[in-house]
Amino acid sequence: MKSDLGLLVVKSVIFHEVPHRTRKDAGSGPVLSEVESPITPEIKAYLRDRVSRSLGSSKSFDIQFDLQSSSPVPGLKSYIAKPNPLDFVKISQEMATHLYTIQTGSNPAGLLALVDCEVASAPGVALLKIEKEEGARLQQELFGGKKTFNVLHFRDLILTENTRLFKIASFVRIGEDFDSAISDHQRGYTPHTEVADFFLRKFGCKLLEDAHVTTKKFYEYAMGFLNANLKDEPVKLVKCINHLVSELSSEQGRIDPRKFAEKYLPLKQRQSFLTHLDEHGISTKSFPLETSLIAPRLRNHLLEFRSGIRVVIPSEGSEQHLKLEKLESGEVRAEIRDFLDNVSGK
Amino acid sequence: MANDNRFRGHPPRLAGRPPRVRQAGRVPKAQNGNAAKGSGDLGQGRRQAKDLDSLLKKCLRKPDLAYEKISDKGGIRIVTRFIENLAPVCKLIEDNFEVKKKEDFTAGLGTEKFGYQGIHLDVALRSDDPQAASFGHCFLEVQLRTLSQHLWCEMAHELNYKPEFEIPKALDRRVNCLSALIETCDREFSLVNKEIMQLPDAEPLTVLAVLERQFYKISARHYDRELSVDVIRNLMPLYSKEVGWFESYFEDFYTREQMKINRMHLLYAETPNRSIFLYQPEALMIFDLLQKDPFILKDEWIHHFPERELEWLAVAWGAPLR
Repeated sequence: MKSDLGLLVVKSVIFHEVPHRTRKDAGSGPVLSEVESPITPEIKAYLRDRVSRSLGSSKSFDIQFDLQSSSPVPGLKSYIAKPNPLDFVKISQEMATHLYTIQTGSNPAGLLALVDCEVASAPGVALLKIEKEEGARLQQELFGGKKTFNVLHFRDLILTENTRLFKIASFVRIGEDFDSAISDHQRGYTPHTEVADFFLRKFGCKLLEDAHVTTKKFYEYAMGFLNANLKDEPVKLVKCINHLVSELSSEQGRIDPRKFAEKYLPLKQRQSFLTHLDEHGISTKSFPLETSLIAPRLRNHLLEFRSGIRVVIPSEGSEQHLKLEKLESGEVRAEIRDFLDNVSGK
Repeated sequence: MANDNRFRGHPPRLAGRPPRVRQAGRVPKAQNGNAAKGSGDLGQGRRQAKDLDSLLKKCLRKPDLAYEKISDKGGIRIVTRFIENLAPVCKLIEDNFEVKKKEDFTAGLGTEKFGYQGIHLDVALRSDDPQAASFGHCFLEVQLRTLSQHLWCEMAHELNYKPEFEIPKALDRRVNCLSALIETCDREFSLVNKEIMQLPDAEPLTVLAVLERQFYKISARHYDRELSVDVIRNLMPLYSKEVGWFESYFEDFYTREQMKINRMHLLYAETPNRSIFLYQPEALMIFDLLQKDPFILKDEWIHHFPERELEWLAVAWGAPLR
């Protein structure tokens, strides 16, 4: 998300309860509010922090509306273009109903909150699926003759620092475009699939950029940065590239550039790395890992020396055969210890 | 009964005036209450509106003084610590209000006399002020003095002001002689302060003064000075810059980010769940570093302060660390 979340202002919020639903049991449906929940400045600050914390995090994904979808979520586009309180209630009810319908037995019960907000005066909304703790004092109340959830009443149960946010998405209108992101806190073994299932497929959103393209661009610009910035430290350079390849080849399903920088790059290079990516239009937030376009390049590294000597080494298992050492002159001593099987002309 | 003439026409109007004057006094206090602080001197401000009784009594005591001519119906007193800050605070007032009258008592003493020192300004809201329609016709007296001058004033008033009888001239002179010492005090405090700020260990204090100047543009809160110095001492090396560099840098930073910082100050005012550093001047330095290089900031921060505090600030700034 490019928007400055420090300028996020929460204007209003509406909550709906989305109970657990099994495949066999159609259930009683969601418990819907008919008007916005009355909120205090403290609750506004709390909601703002939760949105900022999740969507400003490097674990969030940049997304866009999928206008082909039958979900009511892309309908937010017209609401944000011309917000009015009646539509706000209606569209939030539609979303809660839709969420209830698409849930399976494995989805926990919770609350759906639609937050009307703005970022630096640009209109937007945030959509939160929040855990509802058991033993709830949560109850609907009449406000102005209409049903709604009293936030003050259940803040101790729902809106605490420890409350789990299952999913959160935000859509901010910037000119004719939208700056949108989601974050998925419902961790599992296949987080990428979960995000795809929930928001991307069922909720009518898709990734801002094809994951294959993002992965390829990330690989190329990361390699460019490492070669340019660590060329005077060849041993470190090769080590970092090994880490990069190893991250890209992992089974984790997503890559988080900020986490990569923090884990593997020298302290002084971390922010420059993210700035380099950002300047080249590469997301510094998480993105799903799809390596098919770079698979061959992940298998081997090519070391090119000034003299014209080129050494191709497999990404895995070469450490015990190749040793690099930087000499005082700046040259690199590369020592290969292996059996020579063949020599061919090229 | 002759005295009653002095009140002719006044009481019904007066009855409504004092609260109005009191409200009017809040406007400049709110607008310019931080003026002294914005100048880098932690001044004290005091707002006072004369109550109805006092105004009537003054009219009674001074038969020639018409109600409309009483300039101190409402008053603000700004007390600075150092004498060099009187001029910038005075300028801030002149820039922000319409000055009807200005009296510099110190200048008025000339070279041979001692006595009351300070600056008095009668001010009104400027015609383009949004609240001019309500309070434009009211004017207030602003008294501007140093802490030392204030001490002398308070004591001189206590000792000299005996309406029941006349104080012998010799005693009066002794009180006035003390104002000479006060003038020396102000000069000496100022010199000592300057010398302290030149000491190598005082660099964080100098930077704090820089940050304070920006901080007081948005907040009148008291803060923990010791904590500020501690944070600045630890984070300053991350800039690798000379002390003189910080002044214009943070002025630019505040100008650039003032909307965000102002909103944040308002938003979290009623929220218990926020960082204790948010309402400290060094928060500006922390925000700047969060923007510049959160990795280096975090690496240094966690050696001295709780990481959770930094995370809170980062979330408020819209740039969470995780």
